[in-house]
Amino acid sequence: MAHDDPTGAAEVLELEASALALETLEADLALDAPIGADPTGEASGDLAEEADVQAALPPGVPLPIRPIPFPIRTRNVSGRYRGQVGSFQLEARIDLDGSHPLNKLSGDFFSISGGTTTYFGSFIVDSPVITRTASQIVARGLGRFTFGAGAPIVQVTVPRRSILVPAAPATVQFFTTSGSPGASYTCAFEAVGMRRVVIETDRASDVLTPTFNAYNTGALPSGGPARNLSVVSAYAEAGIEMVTSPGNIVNIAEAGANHTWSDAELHASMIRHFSRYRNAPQWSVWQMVCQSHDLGPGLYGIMFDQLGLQRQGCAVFHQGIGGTTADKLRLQAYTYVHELGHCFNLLHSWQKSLANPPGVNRPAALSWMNYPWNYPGGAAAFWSAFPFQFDNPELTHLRHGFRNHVVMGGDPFATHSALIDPQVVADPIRDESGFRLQIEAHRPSYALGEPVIVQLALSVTDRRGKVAHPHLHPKASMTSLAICKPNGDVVAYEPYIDHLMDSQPRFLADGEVIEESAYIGYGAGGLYFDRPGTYKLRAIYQAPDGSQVFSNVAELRVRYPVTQGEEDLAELLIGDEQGALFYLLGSDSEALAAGNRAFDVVLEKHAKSPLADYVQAARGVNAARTFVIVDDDHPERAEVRQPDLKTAETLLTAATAGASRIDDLSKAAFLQKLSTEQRRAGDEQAADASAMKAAAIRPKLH
Amino acid sequence: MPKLHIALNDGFAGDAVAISLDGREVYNKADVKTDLRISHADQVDAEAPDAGATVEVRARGLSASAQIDPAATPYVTVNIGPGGQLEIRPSAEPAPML
Repeated sequence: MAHDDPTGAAEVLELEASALALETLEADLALDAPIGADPTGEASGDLAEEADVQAALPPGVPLPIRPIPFPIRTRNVSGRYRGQVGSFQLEARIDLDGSHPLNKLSGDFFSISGGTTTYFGSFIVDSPVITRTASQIVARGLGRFTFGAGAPIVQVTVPRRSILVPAAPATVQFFTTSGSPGASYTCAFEAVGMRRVVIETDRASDVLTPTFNAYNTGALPSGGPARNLSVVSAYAEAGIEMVTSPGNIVNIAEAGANHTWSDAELHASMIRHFSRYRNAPQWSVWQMVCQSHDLGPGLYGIMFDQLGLQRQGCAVFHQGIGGTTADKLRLQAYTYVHELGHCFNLLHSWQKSLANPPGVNRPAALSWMNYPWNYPGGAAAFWSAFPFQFDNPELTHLRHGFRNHVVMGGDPFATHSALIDPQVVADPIRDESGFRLQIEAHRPSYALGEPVIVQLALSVTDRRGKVAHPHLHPKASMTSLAICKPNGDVVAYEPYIDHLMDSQPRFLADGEVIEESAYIGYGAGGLYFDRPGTYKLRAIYQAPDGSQVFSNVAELRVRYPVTQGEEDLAELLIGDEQGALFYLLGSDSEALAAGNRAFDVVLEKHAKSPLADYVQAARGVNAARTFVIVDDDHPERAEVRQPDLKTAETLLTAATAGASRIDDLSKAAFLQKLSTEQRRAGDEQAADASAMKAAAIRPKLH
Repeated sequence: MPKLHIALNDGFAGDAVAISLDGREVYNKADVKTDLRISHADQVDAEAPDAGATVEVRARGLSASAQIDPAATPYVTVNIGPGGQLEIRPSAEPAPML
């Protein structure tokens, strides 16, 4: 096997010894043979056979379980597995069944040298093809890796066994994109939890109320089944095995009465009292139970650790949440789990877009990471619907995020905390939003450098109609867009400029459609389609009632330039300034002069190229408007460039002609802008003509 | 005189923020930034007349104002919303942070 690629073809295969022994033994004893073949339960001869089998077994191996005359459930295969090939160890996470499967695979590789084990890299398979038979589950798909994997296709095979015998080992086989086999790891089952985290909970000596133990979620109205929930069981439901380590009482008597904690004191206390503290990434976390923070009783908890390697500790404050009533216990459960969520690098539900790279905000998420009082409809609505869970994108991060994005002491807080992909932003389990959102790229394939425009359409599935925000463009903040790039990286589209728009909801009747087109080639995150390959897009619309409406996943391809002309055009059209000019529909700004010069060359040398349509459109819209430039040194002296409607009309007539590459929605919008400016200039006849042209292209808009 | 507790919470990203009560400036700071761990940037307490006061906030070239009754709603949170809008929300209870 290649020494620098744990997915490469194997020269040496070192099977995990106990797993292999068990597999062989099981085959010999036919443990997987149908159980309960004798419906009478008659055991004649069984004891003698048992004695023979026992005699054949090596010492210490337990006797196989005898057949029982009723159907036995098969064991779930989901969980954490571990195996080794050569000097690489693989921790594999298989998430294909159980109570809340995400249908994903992931893993971390470790390099072993002598007694030293170092983290090597991670992978995730977002959407494997899963084949389930009575005897095994096979999942296969293209992985995203933190390193350049030679064999990036991952196939996991797990035999299905009865719950009465130990879990079967999983075979994790890697393949190249041409189908050649790479390394194959036989991984023994380790635990149901996808990740194992040690938690130590210490308590300050002045805390007046009991440390949180458990809350019965049926004690007050909620959105999930009633059960006793502790911090450990809440994380177990999320797929994380929390192992408790004995805690300490931190004596703060010397600090005097009414002591309040600062973040600096909490950090110093963590270094001193957290018995597992190390200045290194590790799956260990410290939670400190305190009475009060400097910020007062309104601060329920904080992930205070932002010094050095971050996210290793958090604190909760009983001044605000302490007590033994049901509502206080519920609040404690919420706060304890929430703060630990920050230690796993989760941001608040409504702030995911502030992560680096940004994710999709989910202000209506019924998640541990939301604020109940920020939920649309208020805290009572939140609590009565809250199932005491993380939402699916958060679960994906917790279970399958690349190790350093999640592990305590890994990436700094808010870095890689919300990487998203269209599969992560999965369809809600129940979609009762009453809306349908469609996203479509205006072309199936694009030349490199060609502006990417998407069309968004919102309609209702509820025949009684629904109230909707009227703006679908991402710049109005009601719609988020996830872009999955050809290399598998997924980013949220960020508008170049946010717009404060009148989003007064309006009634959308059955059969009505709100449509909008949006240029998404450039935004605050730079250029989004600057590499050839296949991209996937998904939009998420925030409805006025707090529902999130997920669109279909649209696909588009950016082609490699074939001719010299295509390559020259790509050079001229790709760039931050050109992207900004397309976004702004032209500009006179000096700061974008280089982009405008590139556009000049496009119109001079490539006027016949279909891509020139976009440049004509941007130039035409800009020519139609008054452009004011304010001199910072002399704000009282603004430079005003008057509209050039003749030039605008010429350019926009060409850009919106029948054969133009631009989509109809955009064409109509451009002509409408021209009409408005012509009317403003007093040319009613020209304005009417432009408006009629617009109406002829998209009658529904007018 | 009753006190108004004004909290600057979501959406601040190194902004200059000024707050005045009935035209009297009670807060003026540069580089106000939301701490994403607790969705809180800063806070200020200010005395307000019993009859109520107009709170005006200026940030990022925007301004917003609201008439506040300090007896009924002594807590005021100020946010910059996802669309860049400045929001003032009076409340009878403090907005918790976690």
